[in-house]
Amino acid sequence: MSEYELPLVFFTVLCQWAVGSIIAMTALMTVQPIWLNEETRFNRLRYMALAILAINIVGSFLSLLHLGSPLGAYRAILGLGHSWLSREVVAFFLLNGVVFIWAAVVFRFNRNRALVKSVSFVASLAGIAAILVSAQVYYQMASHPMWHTLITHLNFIATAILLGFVTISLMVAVYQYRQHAPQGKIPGLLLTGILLGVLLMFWVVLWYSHGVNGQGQMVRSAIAVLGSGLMGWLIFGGLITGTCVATYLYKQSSISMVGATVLMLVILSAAVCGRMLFYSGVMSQSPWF
Amino acid sequence: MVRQYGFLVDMRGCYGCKTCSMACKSENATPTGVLWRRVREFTFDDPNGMAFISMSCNHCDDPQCMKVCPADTYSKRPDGIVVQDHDKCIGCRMCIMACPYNAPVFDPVEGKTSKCNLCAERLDEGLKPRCVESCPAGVLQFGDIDELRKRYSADLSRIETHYKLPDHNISHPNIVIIPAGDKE
Ligand code: SF4
Ligand code: SF4
Repeated sequence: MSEYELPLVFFTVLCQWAVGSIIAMTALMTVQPIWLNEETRFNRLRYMALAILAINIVGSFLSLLHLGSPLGAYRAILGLGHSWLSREVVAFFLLNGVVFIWAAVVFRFNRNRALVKSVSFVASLAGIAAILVSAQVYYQMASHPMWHTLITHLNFIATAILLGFVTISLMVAVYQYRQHAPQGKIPGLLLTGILLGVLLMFWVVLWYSHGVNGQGQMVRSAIAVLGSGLMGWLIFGGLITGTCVATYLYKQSSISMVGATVLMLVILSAAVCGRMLFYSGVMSQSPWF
Repeated sequence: MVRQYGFLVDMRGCYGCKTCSMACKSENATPTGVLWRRVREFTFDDPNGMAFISMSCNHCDDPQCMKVCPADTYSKRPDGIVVQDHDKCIGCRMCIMACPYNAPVFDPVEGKTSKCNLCAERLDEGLKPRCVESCPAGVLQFGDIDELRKRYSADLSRIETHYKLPDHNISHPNIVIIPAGDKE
């Protein structure tokens, strides 16, 4: 078996990125209503909403590549009564519907600000729920201590928050760079969101390290994760770069498109590495007996 | 009516010939690379020695495969055998990830997973599972798990520690293992 489970890596990371971005966008609309009221700013949000919708759809489709018989994918909901994977399929089907409606509302009905805000809020909650359902798929596997823990939920939420808040903060900073106008500060809530994402991810890394004091498969998983070069990139590209982005934007509040793209790619690739570790930590132990 | 069928593995007689594994393969005509029963090898250096555990699906009381399968392919018969409706499988491999004993096997060519069904069709005809019938050393026995446990009550926890087996409390497997080196 492929120890990295790449289709699942890209499915989970992309969808979590989309959800985190919706949450961060909702936060931005709440703390700086000017983003809803000023035409040029709102136009940024409109195109961002379309990009987020596309990321969520692409991510969801990638999950099909994980199946040995993708044509039978419709049967994946037959186990709804007991299987969290079935529930995940339904959750992401519904989430795509919600995100589609959200993007349509943001893109088309931009005159009704209250509607945009409330739909964004609902989409954020739906996204968090879908992420938690995803985490349950792995939590359900009682034989793998690295998955059968609430750290799995924390890991998935941390990825969403880190990627989402970095994305929207960089979007604001690029906008300000292009306007050449007197610059406002990047909202503190967005930068706090980035730091919260870093902190939660750091918690996950610490928990992995603690695993070497565990027993049986947990020790082997922890050693596999900590000994991998991917961990180095998760720490550098995710934790360190994430903290640097928050610090830079606190002081600078604008950045060029090129700079923002590079930083985004570094942090996104770190999240991908983190998720590869999540899968390989368990799958590299196969056969477990 | 048997409540639950299960296997007994008497490690004391097993010399690792893998006849059970091959008999299973030919009986079920499984594809290349797909073995429903495998013989695990253990080596020790104090004193120098080898031991073998022949294992397939343990038709657990709490089948993890059945819990996680999104296509609802697994079901537990009234006699406790966990069977798979192979046509329904979508090859997501969740059952492989969830089974503590690596019983289900994925065939990348077909894109589906399959596993031991305890030769359910043979049992229904009053025959023994092929692996049990084929073992030249009489290592494998099969029957009502309550009877097998009555006959030999080996402490699974001790065996698990010694051979690094998964914790039986996860899925409650229906297997009795008589460890190598145990006195009658
Ligand atoms: S041994 Fe594995 S495949 Fe067999 S019933 Fe138990 S959990 Fe399922
Ligand atoms: S691989 Fe097949 S049998 Fe196993 S969980 Fe997926 S759908 Fe069910």
